[in-house]
Amino acid sequence: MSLSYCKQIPSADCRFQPASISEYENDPWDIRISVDDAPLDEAYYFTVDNPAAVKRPIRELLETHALNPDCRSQLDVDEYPELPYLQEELIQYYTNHQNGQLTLEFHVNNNPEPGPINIDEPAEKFLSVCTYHDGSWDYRVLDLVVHPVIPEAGCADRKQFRRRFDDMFLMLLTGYAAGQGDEAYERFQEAALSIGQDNPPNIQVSSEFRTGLMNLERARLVKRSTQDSRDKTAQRFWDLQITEDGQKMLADLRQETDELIRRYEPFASVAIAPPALGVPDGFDARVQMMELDGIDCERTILLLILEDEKERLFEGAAWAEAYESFDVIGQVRDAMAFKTNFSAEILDALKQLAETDA
Amino acid sequence: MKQLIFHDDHGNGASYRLLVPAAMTHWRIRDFLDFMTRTGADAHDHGYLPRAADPLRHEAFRYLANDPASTLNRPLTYFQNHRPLGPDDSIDLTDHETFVTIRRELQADRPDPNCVDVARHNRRTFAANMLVTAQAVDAMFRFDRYPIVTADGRFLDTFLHVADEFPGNLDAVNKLRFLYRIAALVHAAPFENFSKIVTGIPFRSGAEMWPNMAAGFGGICAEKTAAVKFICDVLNIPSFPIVGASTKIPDDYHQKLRIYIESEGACEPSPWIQHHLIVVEIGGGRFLIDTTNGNVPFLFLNDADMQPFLAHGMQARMVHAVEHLYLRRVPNWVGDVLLTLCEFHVPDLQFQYMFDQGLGMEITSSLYVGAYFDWGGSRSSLMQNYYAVRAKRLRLPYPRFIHEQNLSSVPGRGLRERLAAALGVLREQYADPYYTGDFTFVLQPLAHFWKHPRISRSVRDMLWPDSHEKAA
Repeated sequence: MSLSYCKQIPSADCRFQPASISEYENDPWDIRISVDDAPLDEAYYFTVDNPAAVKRPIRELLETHALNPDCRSQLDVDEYPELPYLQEELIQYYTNHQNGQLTLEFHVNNNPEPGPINIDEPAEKFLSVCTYHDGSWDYRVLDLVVHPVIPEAGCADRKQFRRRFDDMFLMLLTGYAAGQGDEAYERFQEAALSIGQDNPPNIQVSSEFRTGLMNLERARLVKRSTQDSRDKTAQRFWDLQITEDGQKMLADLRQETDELIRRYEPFASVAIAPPALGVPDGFDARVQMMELDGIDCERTILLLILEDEKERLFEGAAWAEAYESFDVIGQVRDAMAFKTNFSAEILDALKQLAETDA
Repeated sequence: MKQLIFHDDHGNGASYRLLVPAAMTHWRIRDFLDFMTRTGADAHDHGYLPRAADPLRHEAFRYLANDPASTLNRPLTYFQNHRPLGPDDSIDLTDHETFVTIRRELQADRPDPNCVDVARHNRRTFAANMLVTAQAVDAMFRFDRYPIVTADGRFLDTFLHVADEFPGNLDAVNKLRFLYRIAALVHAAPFENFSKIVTGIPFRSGAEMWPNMAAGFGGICAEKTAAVKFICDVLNIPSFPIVGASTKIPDDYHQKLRIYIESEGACEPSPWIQHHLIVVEIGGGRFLIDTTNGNVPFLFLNDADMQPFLAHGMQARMVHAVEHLYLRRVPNWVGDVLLTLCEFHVPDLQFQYMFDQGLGMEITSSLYVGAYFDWGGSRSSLMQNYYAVRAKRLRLPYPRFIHEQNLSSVPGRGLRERLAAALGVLREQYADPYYTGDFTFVLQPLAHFWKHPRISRSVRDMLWPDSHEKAA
C-alpha cells in the first residue's frame, strides 16, 4: 500500500494545487520538510525569494537552497531558532540517501495521489497553498514529507544471513542458557531436545532449530549424552553439553565482543562540527568506524546486538521465537541503513580523539 | 535500627527518616533539635546515635527544621499521637516505627520570599556531604575519559579536586569543558517520575539528584536544572533562571509570584510555569542550558544563539502534541522560590507531574510510559481509545495497555519490575477515598523526533579546537 500524508497545521488550511494558486505566482514561497508522521508544527522550512524558481526540479532546489549548508544565513533564525539544527539533521539524511545507504522517499503532504514523487520533476507540479485562518499568512508551499525506508530483508537474504551466523547465534544462546543455572538450563534442554510434538508449553521449537543443533554437534561444539537416570516421564532422552571446543568458541566470542565494545563505544555518540566524542544525542558513528577498520560489519553489529540484548532475545521462552524469526537481521540492517556518512578527515579526527582519550 | 519517620502535615506531605538504635526508647525534643543543627559527622562526634537514612534527604529536613523561613515556611512544631511536643517532652520510640507529625506555628510571621537562598543551601549541603555528592558526580563524570586539567598541567580525578581548583587554577576552556560535561550528564539521565513515585519523594533537590542519577534514574526539567545549579553554586559559578510557559510570561510575573507567596497561595500566580532552564556565566560568556531530555533536545547555547530562543521561545513535543513554550529570564529569587515551592510545598507533586501534566512515568525518544485511572468497563474503552486515536493520528504503533493481569507480558525484565513496583506504590499512596479503581499503564512506542543537540558553534570550537582544525 502506498503511503500518503494528510497533515494539517492547526488554525490553517493547506490545499494541494488549488485553483487560486496562480494568484501567488509573483510571491516568495516556502519549501517545508517534515519527517514522516511528525507534526507540521515542528517542520523545517526554507523561504525561496525567487517566485520563478518553482519551475526548477525539486532535487536542484533541495541541493541549492533548502539543504544547502551555505544558505544557512537565509534561514529565519530570529523567528524560528531551531531551523539551523533541523537543516543539519536533514542534510545528514539526504547525504545518506545520495550515497545509497538509506532510501529516502519524498512525498507531498495532501497530495491526492499516494506514493512517493520523483524529485526530478519541477516543484510547481506539487505546490500547495497554506492559508492561516487569522489571515496572518497566505503562501505557496512545497510541502515535502521525507520517509526513510529501511529495506525489509527478503527470504533469500534472511536465509543467507542465517546460514552465515547460525552457529554463532545458537552457541551464544546455548551458552547463555547454560549460564543461567541448573533450573533454567533444564528448561532450555527440555525444549531444545524435546521429541516430536512434546515441546514444553509455550516453547515451540522449529525444525530449523533442530537442524541448527545437529550442525553444532557435527562441528563438535555441543554433544548429547544419555541421561544417567532416565525418568520415564521425561520429555527427552539426552543432556546437552557444550564440548571443550564449544567452550573455547564461547570464550573467543566473549573476548572478541569485549574488544569490539572497547574499540567502538567511544563512537556511539559523536559530533562532527568539529569532531567530538561523547556528546549527548550525537551521531552513532560506530558502523562507519567498523567499515573504516575493514572488519565484517554485519558480524560485528550482530555480536554487539546479541551482547546488548541477550536478555530480551534469550531469556525465558523468548529464545525459540528469536531463533525462528531471526528478526535480529532487521536490527542489523537498520544499523547499516542509518549509519553515518562522515568524511575521511572527520573520521580520522574522531579516531585520533579516541586514541588521545585512551 | 528502628525508624523514626517525620511526616510533614502542613507542607507537601514529604517524609524524612532517621534511624535510631533499637535500645533507644525515647528522645528528648531539646536533644533532637540540637541533633538537627549538626551535620551527620558533627552529630556523631557529639555522641548522637541516631543517623539519617539518606544523608542528602536529611539535609533537606535540616534546612526545613533549622531555617524554615528560607524554605518559605513558618517555624515547625512536632506532634506525636496528636500531642504537641515541647522542648522538654520526649519522642516515644518504643515501637519499631515511630511517626512524628510536622506542623507549623501558625502565629508566626508569614514567609518572606527574600529569605530564600538556594545557592547558600546548596553550598551548605555540599560542605556537610562532600563525599556523598562527589562520589555520585565522579561515578558519572569519568574523569579518565573527560580530562579536566589545571593551569599547571595536573589532571583532576574527582569533583572534590575540581571544587578546590575551579576558582583560581582552571582556565576558561577547562571550566567550560567541565560544565559542558556536567550538563551533558544531566541531560543523559532519563526524564522520569518513576523514582519519585516509588520513593515517595515529591521533588528532589539539586544535591539529591546526583546520587539518583548515579543510580541510573533522573527527574523532570526543574529537578535537572536544580542539579546543574547545585554544581554551579558549589563552584561559585554565577547562574540565573529562565522559566517557560505555554502562555506569555508577563513582565510583572515576579511581582505576582511575590503576592502569591505572601498570600500563602491564596492568590494564584499567573501563568503556571511549565519549564525551568538555567543560564550560566563562565569564562566571560553566558550559556543557556536545557538538560530536560525526554525528547527536548539538549541546549547549550552561547549568548548570541540563545537570544532568538529567549525572544520567541521553543517548541517541545514530549509525546503527542507540539507545545510552544515562551521563555523569560527572571530574577534569581524567582528561580529559588519556584524550586523551593516544588521541594517543600506542593503536595503530591510527583502525581501532578505524572497524571495532571501528562508526563507519565518516563519518556524516552522511543517510549512513553504513562498511567491512567481505570475502573473498568466503558472507562477502560474510553481511555484506550483516547491513547489509540492519538497514536493513530501520528501513525505511531498501537500502544500497549498494561495492568496487573497482563503485567507479565511486558517485554524486558527491568521495565516489568519498575511497573510492578509503581503499581504497588500508586495503589497505596494515591490516597483518594472516592477512587476505588485500579491503574493501567500505557506503553506508547514513539518515533519521528528531531534528535540533534543544539550546541553553539563557538562552544564546539572552544571545547574541541584541535579537532576542528583537523576537520577543516
